[in-house]
Amino acid sequence: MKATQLLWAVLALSPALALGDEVRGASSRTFYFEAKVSPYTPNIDSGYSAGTGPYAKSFGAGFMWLGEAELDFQFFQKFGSLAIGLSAGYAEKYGKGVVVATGQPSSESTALHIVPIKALLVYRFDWLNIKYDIPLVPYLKGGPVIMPWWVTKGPDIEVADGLKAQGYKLGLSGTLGLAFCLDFLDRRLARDFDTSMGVNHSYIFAEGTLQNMVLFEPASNPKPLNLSSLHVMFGLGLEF
Amino acid sequence: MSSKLAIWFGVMACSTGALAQTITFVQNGTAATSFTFKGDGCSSNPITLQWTYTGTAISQNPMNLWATAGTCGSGPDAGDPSFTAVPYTAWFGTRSGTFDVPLSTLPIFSSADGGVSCGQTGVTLPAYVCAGISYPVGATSQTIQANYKITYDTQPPAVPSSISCSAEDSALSCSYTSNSDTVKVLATARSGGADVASTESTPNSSGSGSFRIKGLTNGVTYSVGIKGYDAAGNVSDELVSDPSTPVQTEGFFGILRDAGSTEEGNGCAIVHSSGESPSDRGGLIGFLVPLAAIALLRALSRRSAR
Repeated sequence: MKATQLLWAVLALSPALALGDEVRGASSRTFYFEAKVSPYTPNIDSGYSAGTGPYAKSFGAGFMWLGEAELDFQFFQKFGSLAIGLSAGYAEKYGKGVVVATGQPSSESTALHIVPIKALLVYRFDWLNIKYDIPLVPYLKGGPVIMPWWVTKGPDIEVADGLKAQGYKLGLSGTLGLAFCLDFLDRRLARDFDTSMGVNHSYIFAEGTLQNMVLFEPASNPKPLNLSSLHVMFGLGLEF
Repeated sequence: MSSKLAIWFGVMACSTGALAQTITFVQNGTAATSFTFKGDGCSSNPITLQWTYTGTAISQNPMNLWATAGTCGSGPDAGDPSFTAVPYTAWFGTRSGTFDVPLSTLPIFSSADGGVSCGQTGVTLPAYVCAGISYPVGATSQTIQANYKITYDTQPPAVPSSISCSAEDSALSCSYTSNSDTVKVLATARSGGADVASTESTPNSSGSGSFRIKGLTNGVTYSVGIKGYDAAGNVSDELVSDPSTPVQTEGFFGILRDAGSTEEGNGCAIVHSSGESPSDRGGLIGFLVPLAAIALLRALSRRSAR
């Protein structure tokens, strides 16, 4: 083989060499998409004895269903993958208000709505999965959170003491998770999914998230609405 | 292609086309396919109907237009009023036009047809405006036909059968049951004999519905009267609810502040759809929609792999 032909061959193979652990013939990986759900109970009643806090009075002991979708852009794939991501979710909880004069439940519904939006830095240790077909991928995420919230009474946003019950909270979140690569169960389907749709890997995962939403409260609000939480999410992820 | 096959295709195309001609009616400027009016409508302006012909070529006959109190048939019966026929205009593709129907000329008001006088109360009588184009089929004749139903209705709907109201903060929420003839309910809150506030509600197909009257005063007792309206605008008698008294209530935010929170909100604008139904499961949408997208992608992938 001539030197120029060898050079062309090396250049042609260079992307594969750069990601030398990738499965031969697989499409490139750039994004990671997740859809996940969690039973979510904010720490609103922390500092109150059980069952006496405002969350319990309004909504009982039940949790909120929090659904989130996340999209990550991977900018490093040498040893595990590093990505920046954006996630957005929604949760709501309905209960009954109370009659002021008697303290008894009223016929009007009241509800808390939240929309957590996160900017994330994500590291996934997927090197063992790609190189040795070990289908477990631990990962870490962290970043700032902005969480718009609002409270309704009946069909309208509640007004109490002349204040409209809506606002947003700023905080930080950290996540530790473990994903199971579904390709391990059906490699042929996984290859087909990559060939036809460009999806390299499919995962199911569980992750624990600790988020503190009172870090940036001003001193003028010593007892804020505390939407902090420690919750576990479950979901499906696609890497493409 | 052989000539026999070509002929066969031609015959099939013609026979298929012969079945494809249609005439449709709507009220001009609307999509309404029927019209209902009450007594004071007889002398009002005529309604304008728009006919539309769609299909392949048929005979060179005109399109006849007439009204009847019975069924349209292939042409007007004795005494049925006719409107100006639409002359042959090459019946293929899409053709359309309009014509006026003076309501007082409908055969339901014709004494010859045993009709009633225009303005008679307590009746519900249908009439039909008909269109027909006759065309030969072999030795016989067939008619493409369409009709538009016009109902003279002076019969008020039945009184709504139930209403119950619950007290809320400066408001009453009520649910009711009307009847199938009712297309709208007008609710009025009264206190001390005076009308205080009102609202309209549209019942669902089974006749039940709900509404909320706002702007009331806590501690004042109100009764709510509802009247049903039918499509012609006839009004039922009124059904009145038991008295209810709005009371001051608190939602979660008020309870939070009563519990010592200093939360004041910070004015973040959130688009909120008033009247959403309580479900607790809205958060699942954020999960299920992407999940459905993933399932679809995988299904497509599996299909393409076969």
